[in-house]
Amino acid sequence: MGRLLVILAVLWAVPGVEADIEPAGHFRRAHMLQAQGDLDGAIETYEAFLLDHAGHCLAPVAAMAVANLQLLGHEDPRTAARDFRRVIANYPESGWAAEAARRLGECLEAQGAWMPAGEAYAEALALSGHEGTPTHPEWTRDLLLATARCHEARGEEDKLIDTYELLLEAPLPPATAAEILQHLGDTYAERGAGENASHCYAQIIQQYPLLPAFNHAWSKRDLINQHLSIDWAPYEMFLRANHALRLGDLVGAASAIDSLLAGSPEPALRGSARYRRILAQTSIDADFARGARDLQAHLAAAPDRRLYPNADWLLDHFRQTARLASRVEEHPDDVSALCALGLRYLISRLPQRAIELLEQARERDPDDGEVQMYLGYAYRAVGNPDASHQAFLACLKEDPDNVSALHPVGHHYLAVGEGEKAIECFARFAAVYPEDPSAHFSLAEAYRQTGRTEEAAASWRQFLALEPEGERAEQARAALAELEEEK
Amino acid sequence: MISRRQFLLALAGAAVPAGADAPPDIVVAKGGRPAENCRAAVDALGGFSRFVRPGDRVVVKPNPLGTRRPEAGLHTHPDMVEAVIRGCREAGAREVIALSHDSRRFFLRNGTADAVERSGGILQVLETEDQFRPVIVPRGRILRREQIASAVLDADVFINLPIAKHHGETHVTVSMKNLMGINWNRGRFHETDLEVCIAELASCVRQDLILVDANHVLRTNGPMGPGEVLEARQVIAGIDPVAVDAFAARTFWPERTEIRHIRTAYDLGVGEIDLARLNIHEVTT
Repeated sequence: MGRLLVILAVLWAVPGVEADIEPAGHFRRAHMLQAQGDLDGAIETYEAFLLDHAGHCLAPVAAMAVANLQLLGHEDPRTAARDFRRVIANYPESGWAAEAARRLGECLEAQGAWMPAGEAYAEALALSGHEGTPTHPEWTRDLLLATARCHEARGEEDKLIDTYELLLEAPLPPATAAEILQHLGDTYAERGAGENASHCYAQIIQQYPLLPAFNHAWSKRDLINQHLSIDWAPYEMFLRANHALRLGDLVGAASAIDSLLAGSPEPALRGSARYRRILAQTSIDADFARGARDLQAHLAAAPDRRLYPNADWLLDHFRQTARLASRVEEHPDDVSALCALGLRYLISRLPQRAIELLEQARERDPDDGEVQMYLGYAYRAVGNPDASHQAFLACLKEDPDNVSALHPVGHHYLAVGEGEKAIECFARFAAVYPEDPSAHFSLAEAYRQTGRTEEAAASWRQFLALEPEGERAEQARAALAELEEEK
Repeated sequence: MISRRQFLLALAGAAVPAGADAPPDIVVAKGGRPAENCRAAVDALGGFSRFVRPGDRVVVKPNPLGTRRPEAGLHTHPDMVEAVIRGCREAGAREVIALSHDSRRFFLRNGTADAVERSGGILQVLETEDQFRPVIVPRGRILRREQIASAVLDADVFINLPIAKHHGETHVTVSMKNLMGINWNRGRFHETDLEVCIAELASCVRQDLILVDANHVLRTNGPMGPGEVLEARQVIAGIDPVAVDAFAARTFWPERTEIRHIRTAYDLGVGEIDLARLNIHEVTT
């Protein structure tokens, strides 16, 4: 052993060897040390890399890793703040600077330093244009909320407004811009600046008809009407078309959109309406190859494809459906393809077409539980509860743990007053997926219907532990309170 | 015989560079049945005994998705799962656990559970949060702490057994995407940026060996199929997830010049993306 150490010492002394170690080697070593619980060792390893490779493309990654280990591992916001500052200062154009600024803000907030924290959040937003920066809506929303928190803590409403206004001057992803406009509008509204608020809401309505912020702005029409003159008719028609699409009334939706397009809507509304029109027409014709081509062309001509939040998913859906349709045409006995195409039609709100295909699949393989399950949903969509129930039962015969069938079958039993059978279904669901709140919610309902109040209360509690917020949580709490009163 | 420099590099945790006496970075074993390809690939990397020591606790992570036959290309071929468990046990593993955070019925219906049982492994379906432990993601800009399967964290050896197939959201799923099955909360991945999250997860999970099932490759309409299945009859093996995934992607989806999560993992220092820098070895079984 002693001899080995001597050899090692000599070998380590060989000059230039350390510099040959590839970056991934440092990272692997740091990771190994972290896994062994040696956070300081991991930090030192990243630091050693930075010392030798300050200009390497992986340097910002190493610098960020050091800061993250200080914050998340040592839970030392003061030291972490120093290290996040280094990322921002040394690598401002890397994809890491924005997130480093955000985490710096969190470190400062933890120390009660509201003003510098707010500045750090503002810097994070300003840095968010660089490639590699997180751009998902949640990131921006959290950051905006954090910024608001800081300014609110200091009573700096003007500063908050200035930050928002400044940000809106920069090119932003549509979802980010719409969200900032919404926050700005709300802030103006709260301080009684109705006209300014109206401009913000109107801008959302006119520029982002397909983004979530639209609904919030739409609810402010009374305020907008006090200050601005806007022709609501095309927007109302657009919403009617959306509603018809949701209900599966494709022809009604197409007709409403055609009426809208016959006028002169704002450009963003025109683009959104055409987008919806492609959707409706594709399903009406069930020509998904053409739908994919039309959608692709529409997106290529759009000023920013992110104006259409589900566009990429939809394009993929159209293409996959078209491929499956070709496959079924070539191989009409391919049960897998029939089943998959049936599901695609179901997603496209074409339940009757889905039933035709799924029945063909069932004829070829009556024991395929998946086919039966989709048939259950397809029959439910066309308002045939008996056929739906039978299909789900057939599915469960093949696959007794299939929760996608257990749930509707349980609800069928609940609806017809067969509570014990419903309990069997939901209990099985809860046993297979104990972490699914729906299982416990439904089980509680079934217990309550059969008068088993203790078990109902236990299931409501289990549900609330998994889903403490939202409409169903309110219902569960009300039901629990009711059960308590009954006692 | 390992050279002095290689010894030093290995001490520093670095990969041993390709050389005449170093094992290849990637092995492609082709032509045989899944189990034969699998064994040949591991043998070319130095055999199971290179990775597993007597008494080790080994965890293997297949992709168990779906209930169809292996020829549909949806899940890791059960024969491969069986071959790996047997190989580990022959190398002296104390126990070999096959696990994934997926529906139990997949394991039971697609042959994976039987394969595990036949080969003397232990099936562990990850179903509850108490089977996971938090791990810091130092190289994360979206992820901070992730709940990783405790069995994986406690294992002496972790072997990833993905299948190579198309994926609607990430275009391909190979080894890094397969790691989502050792993670508890996948919802956040989809809510934020799936491909960045996959790469960040890969940066905080040690993979000792990756064996990609490319015997039946679902080239389109993944991950659930049905789609175009290429009977490639290959197993791709390596220890660098970026290299392995990049190689699989280039082999089976040559039309894609870049897969974002693979590129992102490279940018995080997880591994090598430049296939020209790798020693790739092919064996025919």
